[in-house]
Amino acid sequence: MRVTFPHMGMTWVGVKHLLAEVGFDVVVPPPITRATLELGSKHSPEFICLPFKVMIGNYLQAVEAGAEAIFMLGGVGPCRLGYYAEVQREILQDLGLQVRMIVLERDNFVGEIYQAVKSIGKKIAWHKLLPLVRFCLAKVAYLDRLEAQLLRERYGERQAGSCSQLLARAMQLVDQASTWTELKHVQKDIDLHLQHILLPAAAGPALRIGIIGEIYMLIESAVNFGIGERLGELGASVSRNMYGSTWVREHLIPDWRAFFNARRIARHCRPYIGQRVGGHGFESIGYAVEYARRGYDGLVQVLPLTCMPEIIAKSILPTVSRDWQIPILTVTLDEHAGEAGLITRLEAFVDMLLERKNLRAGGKSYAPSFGS
Amino acid sequence: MRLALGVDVGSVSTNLVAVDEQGRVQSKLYLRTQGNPIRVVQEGLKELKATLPPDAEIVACGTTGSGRRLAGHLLAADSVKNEITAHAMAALSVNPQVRTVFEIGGQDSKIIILRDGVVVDFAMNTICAAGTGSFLDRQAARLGVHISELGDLALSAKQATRIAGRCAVFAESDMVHKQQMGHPVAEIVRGLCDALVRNYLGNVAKGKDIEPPIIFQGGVAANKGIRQAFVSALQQEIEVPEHYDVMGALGAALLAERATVHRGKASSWRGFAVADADCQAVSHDCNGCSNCCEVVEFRIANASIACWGDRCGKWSHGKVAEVADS
Repeated sequence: MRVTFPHMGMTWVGVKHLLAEVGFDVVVPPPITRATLELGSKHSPEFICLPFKVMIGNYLQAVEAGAEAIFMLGGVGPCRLGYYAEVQREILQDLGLQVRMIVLERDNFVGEIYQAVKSIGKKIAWHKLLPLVRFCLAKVAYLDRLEAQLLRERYGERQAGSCSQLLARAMQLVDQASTWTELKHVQKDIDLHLQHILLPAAAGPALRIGIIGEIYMLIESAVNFGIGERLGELGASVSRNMYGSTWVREHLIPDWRAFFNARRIARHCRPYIGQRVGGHGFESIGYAVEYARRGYDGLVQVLPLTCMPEIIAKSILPTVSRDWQIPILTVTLDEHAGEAGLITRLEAFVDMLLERKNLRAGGKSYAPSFGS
Repeated sequence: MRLALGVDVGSVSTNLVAVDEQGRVQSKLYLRTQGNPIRVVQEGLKELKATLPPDAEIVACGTTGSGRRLAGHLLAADSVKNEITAHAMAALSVNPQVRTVFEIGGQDSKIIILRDGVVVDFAMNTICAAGTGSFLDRQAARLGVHISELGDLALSAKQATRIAGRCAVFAESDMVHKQQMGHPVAEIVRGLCDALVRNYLGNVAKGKDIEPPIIFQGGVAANKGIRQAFVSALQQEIEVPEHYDVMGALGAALLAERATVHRGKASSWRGFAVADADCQAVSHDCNGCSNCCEVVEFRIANASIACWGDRCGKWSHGKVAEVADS
């Protein structure tokens, strides 16, 4: 059985390895492009969020490449994602596609995979499963760590674009790595390159900006116009609160660090919001406070149009902004979003933060010599 | 005479401004972009040069507006800045105490909040163009009124007809409806002004602390009806600067001056000769990967100056280096 799954940033590297190792023939959907977006939007409800549309695009392109079954996450709670798999199943059915949808709900995660493996006449080697999952997670976690480092340090790259190229290369190499030793080699290789493309971080960044918001839009740089990269190119050191591997740690695998981290974030939320609102609306507020406490200069919230959890966060963030004196720019994206408007806003935001910082450090505000 | 040149290439208009060392506008041009930013900037340069004194020397050149990048490469500008920063800069040069800037242009509208001479917050219209210059233009044409008379016509009305201003399409159909009901044109126009201001304050300016002094700039500030609607909606004085229509270009000139003269650097600009050069932008779809980026290459006299539009940097970073090598 040829199986596929929706894209979400670099998580495909781990998911592909996992599915292939338990015995499936894996079709990774082609990388997300404008064609994916157009295809997905065409067959999706208009006011569903952008991730849904991109996923539909992924499925259709993967089916075209030969996929017969789709693994998709289910879920519960106010975010509509929990019901996406069901709606998507109907859409694919209406399109007349013979494709099976395997929905992984949190309470029968392993069970569903077990059944699927059984249906192709194979058996999971249970004693190998845990090390396998650990390895797959390690692959994604390494890429996430690298991306986080590049976001933080991109402002110091010697030649524009080299960090993004390195990440693309790392993704390829990590994908090919099939043992721990190979993965270690890749890491060494990439670290070596990293030293060459970055300037020594003596001067420090002009600004530190935190990115918060809806997880898919944060992780999938193909749909967020590379906001993190652009801010880096404008001279800022960027931190993001959400990565694919963090999600797995927080939701699927018990992890103490993630647990204590989540508890701290929940404490930050207390003055602003009393309960979880689905998706990562709660985390967006918590991390806004977290970044403000750490002395960041500004925050960017990214959400897909009609995302309910993030809309709730959006309405609370101005209070956080006032209390902590930290500017927050909210960016809402869908398939109609224009790049030019976004770039203008990001540039203006960075200019604003720079002037603000300059003034606070005792500098003079906008001071041309002409006319003064 | 030492001058700073500012060029604002917007969706509807392209403006050029030359500012002298006292910060005064020596010469200004307001041209229609008409889909050809390169040509209009070139023609603007010729026209501007003719109005300047013979001893004029351009010591700084800056661009802004949605065509800032293209114009920046065309002129080899010293600063290429976004519209928000440029408009804030210009407003500060008019009134250093300014705390709120309303800017309504051809296709976008913005609000900029300043405190102590620094931008602290801003917003741009996100989804709909209702309330921008293009929409007013269109409605004026439909009613058979020249755009410059729209304001006076609105003020001549004793009362306003209520128009739905949330969306350009609804506003238009509502106006047609009111006109068929028999409401006089002047009252409809005044209603339109009120609706646009209501829309602006309810969307773009939503949640912003609007405090005086308020400066209203951009092409739409010419419209007395809109100005009056702002005054009555906010119950506050609104200042419209003398050069309200070219504030973006003015800001670009001042920003360029700050980037060069102020820091003791020489200007990199190409000079007026570029007005006669053979400049072209050619675009093609890159087939290097599945992103299929639309790459634009800008050429002057057939020499590649710059490329942009690609996500990976293959063209934008590669091509320029190639040119520098040759």
